[in-house]
This record gives sequence, structure tokens and C-alpha cells, in this order.
Amino acid sequence: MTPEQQHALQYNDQLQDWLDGDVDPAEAAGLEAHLADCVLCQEQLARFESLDESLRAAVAPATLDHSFDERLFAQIDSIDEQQRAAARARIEQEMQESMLALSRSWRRMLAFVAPGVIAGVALAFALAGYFFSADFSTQMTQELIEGAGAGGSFGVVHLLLTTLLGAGVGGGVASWLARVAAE
Amino acid sequence: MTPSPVPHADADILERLQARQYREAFAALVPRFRDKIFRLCISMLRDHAQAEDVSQEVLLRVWRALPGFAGQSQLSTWIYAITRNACLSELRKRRPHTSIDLDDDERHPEIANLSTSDADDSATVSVTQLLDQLPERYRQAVVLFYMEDKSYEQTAASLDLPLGTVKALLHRARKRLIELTRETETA
Repeated sequence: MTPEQQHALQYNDQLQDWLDGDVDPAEAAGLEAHLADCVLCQEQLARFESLDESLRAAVAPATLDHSFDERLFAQIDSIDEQQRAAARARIEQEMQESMLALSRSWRRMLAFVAPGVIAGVALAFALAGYFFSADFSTQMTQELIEGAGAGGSFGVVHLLLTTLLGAGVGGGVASWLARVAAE
Repeated sequence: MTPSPVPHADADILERLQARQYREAFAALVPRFRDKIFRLCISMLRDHAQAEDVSQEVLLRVWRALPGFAGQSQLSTWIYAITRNACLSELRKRRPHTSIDLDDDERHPEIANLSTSDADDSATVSVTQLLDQLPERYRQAVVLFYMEDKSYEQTAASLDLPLGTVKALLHRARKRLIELTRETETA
């Protein structure tokens, strides 16, 4: 390595820092004192200054204008509107789906429960009529009155007992049909 | 007594993000970062129109991702990382279409535009043509440094490099440019 190259190696970084204003005052003063006497550094500094000017001219600070912002926010507004429209469509679809599900569930309920209840009530009446005329219910009523040891109208107790039996069986059938509908 | 938090450069934006005021946060963010994003794009892509398109794409990505930004890194670091990734994707897309037979000015119309004043003199090699001969990291550091009005800090932040590394890159790049100038003068 020649003495000139060694000298350049020693001062090149300092010269560039000085040119960029990246040295403290003490360092700057030292370098400026050296520059006053050193022809090699003066020449190198001139090269750096020339390069610096060329680079400043060639690589001008680039900025975007207001139309960029307008286009950007227009795009964002469009994204927002699309998102809002998509959200609205999603909610509407969910509502329609839940209404359809509800209507399906109601139809199923009505299809099973209404005939079930009607069948249950009809069955209750039929059974009550059957029990009322059956011998075992007359006997049960008699035993119930005697067992209770209380007086009372045979006819009323008989009617109540047979009605309860009929309603119990009819209600059981109706609730079974309702469970089937709900599943 | 708890120490008071260090004031953050983008504290106003972070406050708005915490309050879920994304639109307001974005409106404050755009003027602060728009040109810095654009310059980083130019330094990487070397094409003004493409850099503008990618800048817009970057800001749209930022807008979409803003609700997910938890402040685990600095806002600027996050935005520059998105920008670098977007530029790298663009360069990857561009690579198969780039012809090695084309002159630099044909490949990079922005560089051709920048060097029009020198191009009039056919004997002079423009500094932008010399810049193109530098290794990519040197070139990016130089371009960004001068675009950012000679700010080491901003250049380092944009390139996600330590300050010392940026200085070293710039110093080496300038030395290399002077060598290249001498070589072209003697050729």
C-alpha cells in the first residue's frame, strides 16, 4: 500500500462524516486544521463534494402528491363499502336461514303436535267412556269410597276416576308425539 | 413511584389504535409515512410508476392489518417491513420478464429520467449509471440517503440496518463511485 493510499484510508471516513455534518465540533476543528495543510485530503474532499452534488441532483427527494391520497382513500372507502355490503348480505342470509329453520321447526311441530293433541283428547274421551261403562272401574270406585271411609256420590267419584284415567293416557300419547316432533 | 413512559414518536396513532379509531389512526399515519414508503419503494424498485403502485398496495395492506397491530414493534419498523416485503414480491414477479440484453436505461426508465441532464453529453457517464454498477445494498443505501435528505437515521430505519452499517455502506459506496468515475475517465 502506497503512503497516499494509507493516508486516504486514514482520512476518507472522516472527510465523508465531515461532509455529512456527522462530526462533533472538536473533531471538525481537528480535521479542518489538517485540511488546511494537506493537499491529498483537499483533492479527495473536492472529489467527495463533487460526487455529493451529483448524487443530490440525481437522486432528488421523491414525494407523492395529493391525488395519491385521494386515490388511496377512495380505494379504502370502496373496501369499506364492500365489507359493509358483505356484512349486510351475511346478516340477511343468516336471518333468512334462521327464519327458514324456525318455519321448518314450526311445521314439524304442527304436523306432529296438533294431530297428537287432537288424538290425545279423542283418546281420552274414548277411554273415559270405556272406563265409565267397564265393570272394573265400577269396582275400583266402590273400593275407593269404602277404603277412604268417606261418604260421597258414587257417580261423581266414578266420573272423576274414569276422566283422570282417560286424560292420563291421552296426555301421555300427546307428549310422546311432541317429543318425536322436537327431535 | 413508577417511571413515566418514554414518549413515543407515533404515540398519537397508537392511542387511536387502542381506542379502535382505525380510520383516524390511518388518516394520521398516511401523511407521516407515505413519502418514506414511496422512497424506499423507489430505492428498491427503481421505477417511479411501479413504486407508486406498490406504495398504494403497502398502505392498503397496512389499513387491512391495522386492527391486528398490537404495538409489539415500532409502527415504523412494522410499516417498513411490509414495504420491503411488498417490494421483494414485486421484484420476484418482475425477474422472469427482465431481459439481460436491455440497457440499464431501458430497464429503469426512472433512472433514465433522472440522468437526462447528463445524458445530453455522450462522453459523460451519469452518476446514476455508475450507481447501477454498485452492489445492491450500497446502491439502496445511497439512493435512500439522498432521497431522505441525508438522514442516516431514516435510511437505517427504512432499510432495517444499524446506523453504523448504513454509514459504512455509504462510505464504501462513495469510494467505489469515485473509483468508477476515475475508471470511466481513463477508459
